[in-house]
Amino acid sequence: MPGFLANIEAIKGKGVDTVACISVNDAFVMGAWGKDQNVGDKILMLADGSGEFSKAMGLSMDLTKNGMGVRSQRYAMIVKDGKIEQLFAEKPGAFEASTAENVLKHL
Amino acid sequence: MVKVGDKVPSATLRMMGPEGPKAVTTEELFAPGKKVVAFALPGAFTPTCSAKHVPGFVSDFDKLKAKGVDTIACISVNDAFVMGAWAKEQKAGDKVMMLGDGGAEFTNAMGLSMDLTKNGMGVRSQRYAMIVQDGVIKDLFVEKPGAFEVSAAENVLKHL
Repeated sequence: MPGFLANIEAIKGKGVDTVACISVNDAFVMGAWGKDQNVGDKILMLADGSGEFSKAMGLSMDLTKNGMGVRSQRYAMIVKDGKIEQLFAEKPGAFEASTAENVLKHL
Repeated sequence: MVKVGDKVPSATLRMMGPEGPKAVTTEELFAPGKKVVAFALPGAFTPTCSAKHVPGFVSDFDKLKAKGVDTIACISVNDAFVMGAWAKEQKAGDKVMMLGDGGAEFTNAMGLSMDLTKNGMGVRSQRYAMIVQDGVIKDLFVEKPGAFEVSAAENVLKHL
């Protein structure tokens, strides 16, 4: 999250219209988190509370045993005209491909 | 749904600690010799829960303790990270244990879950409160959908 916030000008400079963050939390939690992170109107904080989107993407993961239910894997994507142009799914526990820095390189 | 006289079902909840989420089993929480008031709600940071339900228990903390209550616990189908952030926001401190039931294991075992998938919230907990002594449910106050009356701290206090 801080990476996308810090790089928002560079990302917008590449012609990106919208930066969105999606998580399996409800809108109340995402709103509170947006405030905590001082997101303002820079990033759309989108809730996928029932995991509907994450499942449809085929990118959910079951963390029930960790007391977290079914969640989203960590990934980023570049979408143009509704089509996925690039998809950067992380390996479990990793944080490399989906960073703002890496996405920027592919814009 | 569980009823008065039942033992609280076994499940593992999670609480945010200084080093991250830690497991809290219902056996520890509702241990023999302990009088516990537990209340559950549909979600952290949601309007009624934030404005009324939690603040009521935080502000009535001393009165509840005076009635011999050892532990006050709040349970929600959120993860420990969310419950920890909410605890800070609500200034729950060490007055109310903010416990995450992120996989709804406890809530389902209680028979008190509700499906809010269509509202984009997945499976959540109904709003209720209970008084538990020695691991056995002594009083159970389940709200009707949308209501906030019987599970309020004020009502629980009357039954202690």
